[in-house]
Amino acid sequence: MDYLISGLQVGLIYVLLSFGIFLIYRTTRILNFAHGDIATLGTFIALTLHQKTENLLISVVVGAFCSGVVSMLFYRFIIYEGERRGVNPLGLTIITIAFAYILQSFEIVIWGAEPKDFPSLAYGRFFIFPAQFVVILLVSLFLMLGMYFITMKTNFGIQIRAISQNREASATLGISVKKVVSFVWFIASFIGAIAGSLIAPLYFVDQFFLFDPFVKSFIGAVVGGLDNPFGVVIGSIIVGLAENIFGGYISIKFKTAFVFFIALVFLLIKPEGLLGREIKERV
Amino acid sequence: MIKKTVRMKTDYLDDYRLIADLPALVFFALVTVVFISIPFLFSELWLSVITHIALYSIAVLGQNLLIGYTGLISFGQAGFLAIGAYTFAHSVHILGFIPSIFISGLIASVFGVIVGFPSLRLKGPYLAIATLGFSVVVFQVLQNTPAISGGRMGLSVPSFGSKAEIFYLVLAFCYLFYIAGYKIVKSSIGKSFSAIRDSEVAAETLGINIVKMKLLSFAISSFYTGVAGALYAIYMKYLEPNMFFITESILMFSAIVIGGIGSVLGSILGSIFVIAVPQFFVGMKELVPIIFGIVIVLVVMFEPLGLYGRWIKIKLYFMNLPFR
Repeated sequence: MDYLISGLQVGLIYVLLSFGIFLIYRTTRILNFAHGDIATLGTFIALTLHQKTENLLISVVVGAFCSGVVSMLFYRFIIYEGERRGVNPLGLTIITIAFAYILQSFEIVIWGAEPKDFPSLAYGRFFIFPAQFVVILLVSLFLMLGMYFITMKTNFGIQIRAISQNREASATLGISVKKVVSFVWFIASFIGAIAGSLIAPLYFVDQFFLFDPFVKSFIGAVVGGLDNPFGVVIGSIIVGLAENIFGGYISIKFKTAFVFFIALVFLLIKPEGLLGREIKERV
Repeated sequence: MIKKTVRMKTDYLDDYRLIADLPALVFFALVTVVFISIPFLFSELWLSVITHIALYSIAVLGQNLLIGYTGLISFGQAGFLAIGAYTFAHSVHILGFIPSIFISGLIASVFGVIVGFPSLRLKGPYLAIATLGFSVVVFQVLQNTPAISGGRMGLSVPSFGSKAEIFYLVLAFCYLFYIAGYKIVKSSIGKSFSAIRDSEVAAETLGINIVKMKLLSFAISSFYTGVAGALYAIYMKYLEPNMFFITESILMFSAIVIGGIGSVLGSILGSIFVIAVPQFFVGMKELVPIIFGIVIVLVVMFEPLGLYGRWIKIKLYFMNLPFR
């Protein structure tokens, strides 16, 4: 039962992280390897603000906002310029790896390399559940429903979906691709940084602490299928549960290895992901 | 008066030949003499840095064959390096130095073929994740099995000789593997690799056996990386799992990108950059990744062929110097 709860808790965090990866992948066809590091930056800012102001809620939101802005600027001034110069998606992915590099050492320079404690939003237990789990559950449900509402019901969501289907066509129809995609990057990193702040009490915060969750949420997205939002959610929860149940009952040392193993099995059976559609290649 | 222009290649064999004419032979001989005299020219510290560059460039060339020529994005480098190094450290007591270097290359390439099987169905980012997983698995196995990794104290490797002797050993392997790499790239195997990179479906319609070629690419590249791992074990004289963390894969990947994706000479340039630049920033180690990151961004944006592309442009500029 405890493993189930901790698995679900981690799985929900993976959902939040992988949703950002998914949003960025759908609109720009780039895998954002800097996603975890931008979120880490937001977590660090939240930590510093908390030490200054003692108000955790506001500092988490402000930290998330800052990392959203960083990610938006990164898209606008580096990725967008690269796209304009005709750099292919692989090159842009390499740029995000480089940006992750830069952010990591930037964080070391500013905050130092030693791990730090991050305060929890809620302590104690709520009925039989740990309070942190309830917070994570509520926040992620709220964010997911919000995202569903935005993408499905608003004008802005229609623009996002149009761009993810055909970028050139939506540009000719008068959608400002630059603005919409910048805002998508903002949302992705905003959600990512909130996920970082939520998972931070379970780990110690240093510049690499989101690397492991990032990779696993990435696996979750791939297992579920990178072109279906419901697939991303289900895949991430599967990864979280599988990892924690394996870690609890069989061997905690090899749980990361086990996650990659299931990912490999899933991908070999269904390369496009659980709920993904098959991609046909044309020459 | 007409300046002597570039000698055109009229034959397929012309392209395949490493030393085409007399000036090239002279240049080749000169470079060899310079390399052989390196231990007499540089201090101990720089000698060991150059040795590191040389052995690293073998691994980078191998991964460049996979990533640059076949177009399979892989982050398994750290895993293959670790497999090569640990195989060497365990087999050197039984087999001696030179045979166990080749054995570690072979074991690594067996693992390369195993990892290569998913590559038949996965592409792009999916393959990157699968191979990243391979690196993580190797790392965790090493960390959690003291029988292989020698436990908390690390695993020590018997000494090969003085620094100069190690350098000559690495240099010999470098020559061997670079000439072999050049021949692979220019032969029909290398051409099929690039065909697969450019379009898999088109390559298949031209009669290229995709399964065979992809597995071959994985086998060759991990053989290179395994040998580099063995040389790394000789160079470091002891091993611990932390030397083969995933960051090692990313470092090698950035060496490929900076040096030039899909170029043999670029592999050397990239490894020079990645190994030598941190030496100038000993006092501020945190800044090194920032510099790497900025350089990678600039390279991808402005010079997609990397340092090698820059080198070709400079060469062309000097070839028709009075006219431009």
